[in-house]
Amino acid sequence: MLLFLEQLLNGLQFGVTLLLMASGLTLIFGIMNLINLAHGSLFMVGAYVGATAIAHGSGFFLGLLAGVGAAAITGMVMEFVIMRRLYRRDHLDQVLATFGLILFFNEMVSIVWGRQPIAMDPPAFLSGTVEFIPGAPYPAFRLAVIATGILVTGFLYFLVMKTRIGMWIRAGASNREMIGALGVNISLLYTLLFGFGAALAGLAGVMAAPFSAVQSGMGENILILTFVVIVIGGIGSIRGAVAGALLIGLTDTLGRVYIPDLMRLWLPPSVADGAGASLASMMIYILMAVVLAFRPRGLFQTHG
Amino acid sequence: MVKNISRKSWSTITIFVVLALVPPVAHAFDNSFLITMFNRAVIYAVAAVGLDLIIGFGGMVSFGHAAFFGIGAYTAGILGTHAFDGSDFIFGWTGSNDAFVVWPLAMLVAAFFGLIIGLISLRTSGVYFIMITLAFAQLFYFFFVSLSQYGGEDGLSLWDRNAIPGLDLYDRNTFYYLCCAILLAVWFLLSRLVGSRFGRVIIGCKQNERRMRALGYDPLLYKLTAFCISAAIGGLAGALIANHSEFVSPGLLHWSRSGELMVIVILGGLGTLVGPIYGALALFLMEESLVSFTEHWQVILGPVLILVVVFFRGGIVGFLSGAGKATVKSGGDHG
Amino acid sequence: MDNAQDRPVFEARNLYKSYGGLRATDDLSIQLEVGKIHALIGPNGAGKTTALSQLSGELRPDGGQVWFDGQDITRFSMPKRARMGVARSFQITAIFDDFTVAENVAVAVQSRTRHHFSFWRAVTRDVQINKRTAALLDQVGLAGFASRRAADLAHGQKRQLEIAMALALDPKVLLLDEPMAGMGPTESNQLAELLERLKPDFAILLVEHDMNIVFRLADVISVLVNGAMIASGSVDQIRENEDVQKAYLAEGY
Repeated sequence: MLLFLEQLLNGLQFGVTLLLMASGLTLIFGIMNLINLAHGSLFMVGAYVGATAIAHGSGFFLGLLAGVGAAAITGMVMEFVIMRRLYRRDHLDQVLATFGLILFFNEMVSIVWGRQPIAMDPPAFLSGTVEFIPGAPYPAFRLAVIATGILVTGFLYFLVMKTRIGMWIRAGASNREMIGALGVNISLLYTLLFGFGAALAGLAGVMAAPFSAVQSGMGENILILTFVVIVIGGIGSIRGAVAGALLIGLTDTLGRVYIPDLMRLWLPPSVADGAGASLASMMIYILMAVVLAFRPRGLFQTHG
Repeated sequence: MVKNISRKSWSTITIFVVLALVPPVAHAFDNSFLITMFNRAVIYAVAAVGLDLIIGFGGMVSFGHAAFFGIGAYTAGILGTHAFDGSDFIFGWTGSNDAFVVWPLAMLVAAFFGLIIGLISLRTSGVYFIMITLAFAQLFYFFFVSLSQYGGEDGLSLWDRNAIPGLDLYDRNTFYYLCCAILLAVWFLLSRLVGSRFGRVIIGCKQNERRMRALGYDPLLYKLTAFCISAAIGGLAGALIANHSEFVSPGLLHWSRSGELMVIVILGGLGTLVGPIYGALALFLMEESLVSFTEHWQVILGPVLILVVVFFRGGIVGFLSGAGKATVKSGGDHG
Repeated sequence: MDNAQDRPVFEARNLYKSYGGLRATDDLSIQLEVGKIHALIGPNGAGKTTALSQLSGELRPDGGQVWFDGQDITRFSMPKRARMGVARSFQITAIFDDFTVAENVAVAVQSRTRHHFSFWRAVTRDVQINKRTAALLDQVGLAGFASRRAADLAHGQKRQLEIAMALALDPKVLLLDEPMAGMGPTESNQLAELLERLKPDFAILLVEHDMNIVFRLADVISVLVNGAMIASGSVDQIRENEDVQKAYLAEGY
């Protein structure tokens, strides 16, 4: 039971990382109608810059800031130089151009940092454990990640639904010309918005860095999972992104732990472990297929 | 789509003549690697021509075509392994090494999974379809990674190339020309197909699905058929690449492979069928020449792709047929 | 069994459709007979297109039935109804922009012929399809534009092309959603003449805004307000109906 709770929290923590990625991606898609494969590259940039800054003694918060800032700036430059030429293009063109960006960023990273993965330790003040469930000490850093994710998502929801900027954003999505006529600089708004989505990806990158090897290509693994989150949740829906991210985070984490155990009930251990592990790695995709079979436009399908 | 027929057939004739001349030229320069490289490009072209059917004509942007490529390759690899060591594959069948058994089977298996993937993903469209096909390809990627009895992550060697009576597939030239012949056949069959009744229906579905329904067509049926045909061609190309490299691995199903196939289609010219052949040659030549400059060649390839997308619409074939950007706007001037 | 020839070929019985709390279609019944044009009019937002979509099968009603040729087709999809002989045109021009004019009609003609899973023979050389296509283009007055790209047609010609595509289905019923929308007087007049020529062979439902056209063409007029039919009758009856005048005056007509 305690192990289960711990795994539940791990799943939540993974889900929160996915959520930060998904909300940026779905925001950009929902508003600018742009599919950006290079969103994973921004995650990677965040992780590399954050990890490097911390390794050079910047301290955790400055490192975090560096990672998030680097991702945001990269995102805004990306938008300014390339993306704004693609808003009116079809999705195929967008996929291809951003595929080109991925190749560029992955190679760039290995030119700067080499092909060997680099590691990042959680900050000292969060390296301990918290025993908030009696008998189950839980890593403080993971808890901090969960808390940050929830706070940021709450802030995002508030920003989009309750503020004037959010109103512009939502209006811009439905009527670009009209909002332009109101004297709002749409181009600038879009650049900033893109930078904001990129910052979220960078934040996710820095926070995920201690759990995974920071290496070239790391962005695409999480990008594809983020796609699954969005597909399950429903495009353009923040609520859907939340539901999808939690579902995928939990399914993946719990699946890896428990599916092999479950398989042992029917199969000899040697077979069960292999089959269980392979089933676990496919689990989220199977989940996606099942959801789509019943709800082709995702759990929280938006109109249109 | 009917424009510049003569120029387009010239670009088709030219490319196949070029392909046919590769072995003699390679021998003249005593550079047999050239044949190996072109052979690879030809095999990728087979898959890309099949992909052009659904993207260029059917409007289905599949970002998971490497799955079918990999499924075809693994069909050849797994059947070959059993045929080699005589072990049981299924129901006492010990696999096969016969190209006339393995290749059609690779197509059939790929088409079967195309049917399943298509049934689920074709009920959606646009960005959804792109993401879902990508995710499905990833599903198969992880499946083969965890398929430990067939090498798992490390892949699987094909001990013998498949056999065709009277042909020595180990002979570089023979295998190369065989692949070229298959490419020609696939190109020809699909060219007929897009001009047939079926072709007109899928092109209509790409343009206006709602109108097609009002005209009495069920788009899903036709799109699914096209998707399966395209998957089968991908499977065939996979079986060929397995024979070419005598090795299969999950890397064949990696998502970037799907991206590469799409790049080939766009680079060559979407919706032209011959374009992807140009695209494959261009991509592989570009790769080879960039590699000789730097190991970090992708840092150049990436921006080149972006430039192609932003400024060079219509691809190589669009450029060759003198239309380029203009085709998009004024296609009706021949009327 | 009643006498078959008394029956309308196409009939909607008590259709209901609501979105959230909004009644989009409220107990709508309508009958179409061959040789008659039945006009459906009403102010903007009255639910005319929603009603038409339920007749054509694109929308499923929440309640009620649709009958065609003595058969309950309420659960049949749009493609299936189209194949049976219920053709529709769209309010916003829906043609295949990248096809030529002839190809647009040909793909509709092909729908009648079935053999869609022919992968080999060139469809452009299909004599059967080409003959029928040429005849249809002639019928709607587009014979001279066969090889023009559809997107390059004038607006009125696009609307004519839509009619040709609907006719290509060899339908018994034509559901026309504002076929004159966006047309100038000359073009409207040409299209009205075409509809008059077609009238004897089809059961036509005409959703239309232009009252002059409606009064000229219709045998029966039904008036829809807020999804409900407030009046139905001959041209003269509708002209003099006070409810109708009120509904239209309120809208500023």
